[in-house]
Amino acid sequence: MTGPTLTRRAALAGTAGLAALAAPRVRAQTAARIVIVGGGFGGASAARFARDAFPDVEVTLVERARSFTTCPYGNLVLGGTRRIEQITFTYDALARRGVRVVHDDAVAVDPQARGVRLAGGTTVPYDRLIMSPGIDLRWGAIEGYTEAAAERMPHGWVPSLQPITVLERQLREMPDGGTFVMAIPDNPFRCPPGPYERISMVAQYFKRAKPRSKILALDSKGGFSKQPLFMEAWAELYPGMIEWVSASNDGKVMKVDPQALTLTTEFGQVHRAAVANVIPPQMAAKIARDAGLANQSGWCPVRARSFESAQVPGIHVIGDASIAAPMPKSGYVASTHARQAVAAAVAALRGQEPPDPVYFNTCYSHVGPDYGISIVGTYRADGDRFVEVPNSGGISPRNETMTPERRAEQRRLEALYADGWYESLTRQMFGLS
Amino acid sequence: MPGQGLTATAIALLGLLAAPAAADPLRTALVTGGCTGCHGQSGEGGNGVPAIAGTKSRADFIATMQAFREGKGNPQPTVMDRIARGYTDEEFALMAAHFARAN
Repeated sequence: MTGPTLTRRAALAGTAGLAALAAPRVRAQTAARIVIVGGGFGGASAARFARDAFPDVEVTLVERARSFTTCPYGNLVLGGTRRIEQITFTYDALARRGVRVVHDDAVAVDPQARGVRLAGGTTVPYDRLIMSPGIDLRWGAIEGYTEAAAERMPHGWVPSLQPITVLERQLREMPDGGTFVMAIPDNPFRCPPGPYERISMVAQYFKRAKPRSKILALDSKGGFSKQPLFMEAWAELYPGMIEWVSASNDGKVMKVDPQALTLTTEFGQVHRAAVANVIPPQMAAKIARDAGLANQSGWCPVRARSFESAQVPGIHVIGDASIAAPMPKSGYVASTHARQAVAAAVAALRGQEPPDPVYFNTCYSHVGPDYGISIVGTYRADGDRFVEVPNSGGISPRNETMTPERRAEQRRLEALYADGWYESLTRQMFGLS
Repeated sequence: MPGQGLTATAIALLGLLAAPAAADPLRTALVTGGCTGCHGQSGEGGNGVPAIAGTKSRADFIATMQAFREGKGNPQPTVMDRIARGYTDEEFALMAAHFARAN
């Protein structure tokens, strides 16, 4: 609870204060144009920050869709504790704050002429471009997994391509006693703990509504984010329900048959699913690849202090499309990429060096009711490499390090904080507070 | 303090921000960006996350962050110990100047 004094003071200090202080430094120049392509966690955060911190910079956000459904908390729709409307936002508040929001499809970037061509035919000129294009799925990387196959075997990984409700509906219609089979990709991919939160949330739903059902998670990796915490929680909350198969135990899915609902692994085992969720390998979205921003890996190399492309000057690439390891491909960290990229872009326009970066990430996962876990990390630039600050960050404490009472409290608080994290981050990026 | 030539509003805001003389508001915004993701755009907290705006004096704010980082003070931190270990004293001072009470 905040009283009116705090509210006013905090509002001034948080937003207008910074704007008022920053304003005189850019006022002498003509209005620089920052264009942001993509309105997800990176792009919306960039627009918000650019608008607040640099009032005399013209900020344009190009985003195809009029609303945005977050990847975070999509798994809670599967678990039955969120509805999709509750995780869907518009760009109206950002527009009211002075961001020029253009709802069109960015089809091409011309780095020489410094313009973004839109499907509608017009070109948006920029002085500095920030690309937050997100990911594309590599159709066909798993044999048989095409766009058409994804209707029968949903990915539920890119909300703009397929709402999470497609997978939700299949789970609701699944008879009790069936097996939910997941195919999980190798690194790097969007949201490293996401598949395992999904396993947890589907388990939570099964426990309540379909207790004889099973979950089989076929993984292309040997291990995963927050693994010991997830494993301990699954054994405790969902005993006997979840089987996770690592790559070395023949977990890597090579082929799917959407008609038969089967998934075939590396050594030829065929698994039949009642509901199949295939999360395929990924790459930077097409517009970034077409603009020459991606290397042969399919992802976009960037400079560690500015997120400027290592391949095309004048364009910053943030969020999941960028190569920013050891940072994970997460929404939260994309919002910190965004602020640094905006600051670096404006610095470049003034002929200055980018400020010293500090990147920060928190990823919470819900594992069950009143049961949350997290991983956090702080990152800096060391020359042109991203490095995690030594001895910082890490995952929530393991069960064995706590008394039973403290354990329950730790997990309960982290579930609560996860909800606060989601509220705060989404309200901030969409300009709602 | 760079008071000369600024508008009354800006002077008032400077007072509210109460940053050290050399503090760059942009750097403050970049550093505190790590805080606001969970604690709210203005540090107001909510949804179970504690408020950090206007709740402590500057010295107490810094001492609290240092205690999280060194593993002293609060015997059972939830996430803040892991987070505080990523930041420097200079950054704690920037956060404190931004979020702490005026006195």
